[in-house]
Amino acid sequence: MRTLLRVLAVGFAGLAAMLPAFAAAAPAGVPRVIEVVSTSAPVTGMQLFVPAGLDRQPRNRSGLAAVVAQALVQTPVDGTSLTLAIARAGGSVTYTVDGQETHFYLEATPSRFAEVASLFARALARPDFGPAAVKNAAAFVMQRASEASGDGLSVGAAMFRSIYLAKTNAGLPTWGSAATIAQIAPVDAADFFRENYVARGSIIVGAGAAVPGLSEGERAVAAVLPDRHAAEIVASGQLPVKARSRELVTHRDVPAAWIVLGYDAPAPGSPDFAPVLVLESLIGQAVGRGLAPPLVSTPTDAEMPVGSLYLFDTVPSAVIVYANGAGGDPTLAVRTVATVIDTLVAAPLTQAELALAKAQATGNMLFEEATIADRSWLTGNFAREGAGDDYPARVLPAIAAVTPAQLRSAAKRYFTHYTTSIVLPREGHP
Amino acid sequence: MIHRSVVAVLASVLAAVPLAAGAAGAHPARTIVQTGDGPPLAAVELWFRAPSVGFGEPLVGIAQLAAESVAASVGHGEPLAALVQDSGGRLQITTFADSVQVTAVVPAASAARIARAALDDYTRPALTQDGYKRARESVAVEAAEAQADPDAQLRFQLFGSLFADGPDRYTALPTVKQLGALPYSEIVAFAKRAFRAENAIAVVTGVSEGAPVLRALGGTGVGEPAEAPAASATSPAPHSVDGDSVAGPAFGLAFAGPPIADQRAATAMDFLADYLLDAKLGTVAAALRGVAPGANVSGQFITLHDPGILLVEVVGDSSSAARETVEQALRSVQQPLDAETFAAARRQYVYHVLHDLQSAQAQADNLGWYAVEGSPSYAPFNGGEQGEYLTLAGSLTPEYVANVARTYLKAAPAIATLTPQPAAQAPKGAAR
Repeated sequence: MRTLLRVLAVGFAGLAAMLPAFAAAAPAGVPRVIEVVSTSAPVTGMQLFVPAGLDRQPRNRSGLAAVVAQALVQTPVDGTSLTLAIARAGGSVTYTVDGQETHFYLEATPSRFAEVASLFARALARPDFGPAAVKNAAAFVMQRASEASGDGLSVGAAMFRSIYLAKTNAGLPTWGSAATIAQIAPVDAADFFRENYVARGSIIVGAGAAVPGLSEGERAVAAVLPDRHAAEIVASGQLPVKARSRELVTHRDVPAAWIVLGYDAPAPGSPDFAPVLVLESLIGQAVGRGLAPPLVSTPTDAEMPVGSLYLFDTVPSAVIVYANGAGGDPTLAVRTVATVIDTLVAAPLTQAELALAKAQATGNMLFEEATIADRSWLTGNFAREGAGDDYPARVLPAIAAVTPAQLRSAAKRYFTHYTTSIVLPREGHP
Repeated sequence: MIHRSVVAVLASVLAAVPLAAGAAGAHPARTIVQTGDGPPLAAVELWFRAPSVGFGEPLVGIAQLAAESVAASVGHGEPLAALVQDSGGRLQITTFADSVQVTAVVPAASAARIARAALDDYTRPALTQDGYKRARESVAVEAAEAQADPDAQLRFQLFGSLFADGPDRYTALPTVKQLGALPYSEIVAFAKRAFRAENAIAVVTGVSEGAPVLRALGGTGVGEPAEAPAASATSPAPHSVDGDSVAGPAFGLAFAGPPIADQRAATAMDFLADYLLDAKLGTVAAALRGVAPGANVSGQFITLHDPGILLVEVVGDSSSAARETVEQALRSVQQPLDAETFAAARRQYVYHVLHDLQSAQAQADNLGWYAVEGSPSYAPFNGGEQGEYLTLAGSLTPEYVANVARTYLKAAPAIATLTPQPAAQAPKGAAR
C-alpha cells in the first residue's frame, strides 16, 4: 500500500546538496540518468523506471506486469535466483508495479554496488520466462492479490483508482485477480517484457553514497535496454470519471467497514500542487484531531483509523481521505472534511493557521523522503511525470509561498466533489 | 561513508547561550551530533539511563508514564508533544529495561529549537496534572496494543523467564491495574531523578550544521550518565512458560549472550542473528518454509550492558516440527561455516547493518543506544565501514563465530509458547 500511496518530499536548507548532481539530457535510445548523491549516506542505491506499468497490460491479463517483474527477480544468475544472488553479494533488489510504470530498486554496500548492478543487468539481458518460472511468479502474485483483498484501505483506494484512471488500464489492481492471473502464459510474459522493458521512456536515478561503482552500474543497466519505444498504452474505451459524488460499494473479508473518499487533484508540476499538498495536510490533521491518544505513537497508514493521502504516482493525481470503522464512526471523517472545506471557502486562514498548515505539509513531505529508496523514487517519479528533474528542490519553497487565497481557490476547485468507496465486511465475518 | 562528527567545544559560542544558562548551566553528560547532507529532516533524541520500573520497588510502566507526562505537560510553555507536532515533526517515547528514549523527528530548521525545548522540559520537569492525565490515557492505549501483539507478548514471557531479578524481568508498559497503581507523586519523583541533565545523552542527526544544536544543548559533553547501568540477574535455569495469544500460535527462545564490553563476541552474535533469523533470507526462515509455511520468524541479538540477549520468535506455528527446525538451525552454527558461505553471509550482514542506518532517526537511535549501554564508539553508525563495529565484523572468522555460538547457544534458553484463545474468550476492543 505504501508504494501505491507514497507522498513526496525534499527540503529547504539542504536543497543545494539535494539538487541532481547530474541530469543528463538523454540521447535517443538511452535511458535518462539522474543522480542524487549524498556524502553521508551509508549505502548506494539505484532506481530503474521502465514504462511497463499496469496501463500497458491487457485487461484480461491483469496482473501481467507484476508477474513479469517477479519472474525477473527470480531469474537464475550464477545458479541461484537474482534476489538471492544480489543478497549474497551484499545488496537487495525490490520492485513496485504502478499505474504507468514499474520500478526496480537496487541497493548495496557502496563497495559492492557495481557487482550488484552487474547481476541485475545480466538478469535483465536474459530473463527467465519459461513455464516453471512464470508459474512460480504467478503463484507469488496471486498470493499478493489475495492479501490485498483483505486490506480495507487497499480495496477502497483501488476502487477509487479504477474510476479516476478509467481511461486506460492504469487503474487495474496492482496484483490482478485470480481469474486473470490464471490466463497468463509464458508467451504473454515474454512479449510484455520485450515490448516494454526498453530504453525510451526509461529513467535511472542513482542515489545515496557516491562511489565509482554507481556510474558503472548505471551504464551496465542502461546498456541492456533495447533502443525502442514501449508498446502503446491500452485504452479502455471508457471515459475518465471525474469525482461527482458517486458511491461504490463492495464486500470483502475485512473486520470492519472502511470509507474512502476520493478527490481529483493536480499532478506534480501544476501550480496548484503545493496548495493542495497543504490542504491535504490540513484535512489529514483535522480528521485525526478527534482521536483519543496515544500521545506519541506512529502507526502506519493502514493502522490509522482515519487519514489522508496524496496519490501522485500517476497522472491524473488524486487525494483520498479514509476512515476505518474499527476506530469509530467512519462518517465522522466525511463530515469533518466537509466542515474544513466549508470553513476554508467561507473565510481564509489566519497567517498563524497558515504557517502551521505549511509546517505540517512540509514535515509530511520530508518524512516520505527518509530513505534512499524513497528519495530516488521521488526524483524519478517527478521526472517521469514531466515536472522536472529538479522538482524536488522546488516543492518546499512552493509550499512556503502558498497564500490563503490559493488555498481557498484550491479548496473550491478540488474538494467540493468526491467519489465514495465503501468496503463492507462480508456477511458472517466474525 | 563520510561522517563529520561535531565535537569541538565552541567556547566563544557558548558564551552567548542564554537558554543554556537558564537551564541552570546544565548540559547532557554526553552530546553526539552527526551532520549530513541528506534530506533536511533531523532527529533530536534524549536518552536517560533509568530502570523502566523505577529506582525502588518495581513499578511497571513508571518510566513510560513519567516520560509521556513531561511531553504532555505545559511545563515551560507549549507542551513538547504539541511543539513538535506544530513544527511538522513527530514525537516518539520508548522505554527499555534500562533506559528511556525521547525522540523528536523534525525539519532540520527546527532542530536547535526543539533540542533546547526538550532538554529544558525534561531536565527541569514541570509536570502538570493535565499532562499526567493525558499521558495515562496514552499509555493505556499503547499497553492495550502491546497486549494484542504476539511479538510483544513473547518478549514479555521470555524476559520474565530468562531473568531472575532486575528491570529486564518486566515489560515496559503496564497492565491497566499496574497503571492505576502509579500515583502522580511517584511520577514526579521518578522524573526528577531520571531526567537530570547529568543523566542524559543527547543525540542529533540529520542537520547540515552542528553548531546551532550544540549551542542549544549548552555545549559538548563527553561524560557518562550519572546513573549506573541497571543490573539484571539471569536465572540459572530458565523455565518454559505458556501464555495465551489473541493472534495465533507462537513460540520463542531467549539466550543470554555476551555483554557489550566483549565487542567482538557481541558482533559475532549480531552476525549469527542475521544469518539465522533474517525474516526472508535467514536459514531458519528458509528451513521453516518446508515444514511450517505459515510461520514467520524474526529475531535479533540485543546488545546490552550485561548480558546481551539473542531473541528468536516464530509467529504462526508452534508445532514440534517448527521447534525442531529452529533448534537444528541453532545447532548447525556451532560448527564453522564453509568459507564461501561465510563470506556471502558476512557481505549480506554488513549490508543489512548499513541499510538499517539510512534515516536520521535510525542513525540517532543507533548512536544513542550504544552510548546509553556504555560503548558509544562501538555504535555501527560511528564511522561506518571504517568504524570500530564494521572493522570487528571484518575480523570475524568461521571458527570464531562457531566458538561464540557454542559458548552462548548451548546453554538452556528461556522458552515461551503462546496458544490462541478460543474466540469467545478473546478480549474485545484490545486495540483502538
